[in-house]
Amino acid sequence: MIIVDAHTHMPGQAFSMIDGLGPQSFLEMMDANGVDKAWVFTLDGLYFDPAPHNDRLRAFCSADSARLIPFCTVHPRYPNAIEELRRCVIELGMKGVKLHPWAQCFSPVEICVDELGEEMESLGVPVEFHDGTPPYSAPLQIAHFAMRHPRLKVILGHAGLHDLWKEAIFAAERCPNIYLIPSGMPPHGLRQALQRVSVERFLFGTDAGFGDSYWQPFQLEKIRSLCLSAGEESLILGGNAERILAEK
Amino acid sequence: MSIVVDCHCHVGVGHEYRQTADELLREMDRYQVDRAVICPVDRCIAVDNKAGNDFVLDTARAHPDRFYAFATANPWYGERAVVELQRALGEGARGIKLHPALQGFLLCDELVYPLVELAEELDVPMFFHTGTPAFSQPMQLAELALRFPGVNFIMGHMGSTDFWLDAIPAAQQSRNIYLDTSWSLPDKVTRAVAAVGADRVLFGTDSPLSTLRLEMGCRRATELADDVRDAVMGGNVLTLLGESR
Repeated sequence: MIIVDAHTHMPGQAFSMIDGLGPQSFLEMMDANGVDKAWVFTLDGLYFDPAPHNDRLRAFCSADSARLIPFCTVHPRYPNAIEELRRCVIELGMKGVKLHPWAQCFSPVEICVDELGEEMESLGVPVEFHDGTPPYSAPLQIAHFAMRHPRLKVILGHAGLHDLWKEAIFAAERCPNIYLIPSGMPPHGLRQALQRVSVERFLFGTDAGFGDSYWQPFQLEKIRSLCLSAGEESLILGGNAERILAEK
Repeated sequence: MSIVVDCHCHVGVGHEYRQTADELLREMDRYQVDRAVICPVDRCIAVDNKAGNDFVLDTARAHPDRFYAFATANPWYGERAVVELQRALGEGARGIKLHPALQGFLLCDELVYPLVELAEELDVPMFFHTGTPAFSQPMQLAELALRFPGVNFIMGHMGSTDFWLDAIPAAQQSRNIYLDTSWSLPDKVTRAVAAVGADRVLFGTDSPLSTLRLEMGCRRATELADDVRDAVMGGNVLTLLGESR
């Protein structure tokens, strides 16, 4: 079984509570937890000019490009957002996009993100959203965006967190192109979600690199404590993430 | 480790979740939790207060060495809420649990003052759910706690998830705020202990919304000195309840 952590952050200055975690330490953390690959996002680039942080992320992931898979970010309000997206995907070979409406000060329902959505659809890259926090990152706001871009694979990075996990289920039921990372779902919410949404639409993700070093063991334990069949567990822990990137 | 007391569980049949006393006891035995505070479930917190209070009181009476009942009442019921809490506390409840997001009131609204005054009069702690915008925020709890310095308040979940950043600054504003560790990874708990003191952090699980397996895993991974661990894992909540260790 391949384990893919589909939600990690390259440690940075903004918000970060981990100091000095370089790529080798990051890989050692993955080794310690039995994680084979990670989708890695910038942290600082969500708060500051994304371009230099996309470059730093690309360099960070080059330490082991088979295991560290970079996702770029762009600020939808920046005039060069499309250009930066194309640079990251085409020139730097980044595999997806991370957007954080709450930190980047836009709502998913605004038309300013539509051109970006269309370009991501054309490039065939998935987009992972921070979600679960009002006022700009509620799951059904992101579902509105997903409905406007039906060819785009839209991943909810927290599946609603503690307060909106049920809204995330409604969003996934409404939009077949929405995928869930239940990193913020309580266990009882996750069990309910698995009864209502196909197991092929769940990914494993932790936010590792952003804060506590216990994130990966905690989220692994949450999935494993569901006692799913080996096939289902394998899909959630890595199979689905691998398939999403393969289905470009 | 000395006695382990979970400051935050639910029993009963709710809308989103359900848990029997036997199920909780099995989990407690499995994960070496000696005692637990039990609160009503979501439906009973929102509207059927008396039914929920009776259930936790009956459960605690059936297992007096394992459970402490916390009662609830929706403050929108006004005087009837006060009467219901007087009844439940008179029948053995040891504290009050309120959930402003479920019960539909601003955490620090004057609406809740009569219930807080009752807690002060009867010297019982008040547990508030926090972390849910817009009505259940840590800073709102600090505002209430500053206004009622004679009442001990427990900040449920330490603001998780949306207001995790606010939990410690809020608790530092008012000495009568205690922090519940449920939903908190190790780093958050060690920071809380360092920031507000080992005597103001309480082990909790929020079972069955979270699980004892996950929460005890987090606490085992939390690096604390032995005396601090003993206080956090049980000693502090026993002190709040006026129980001997």
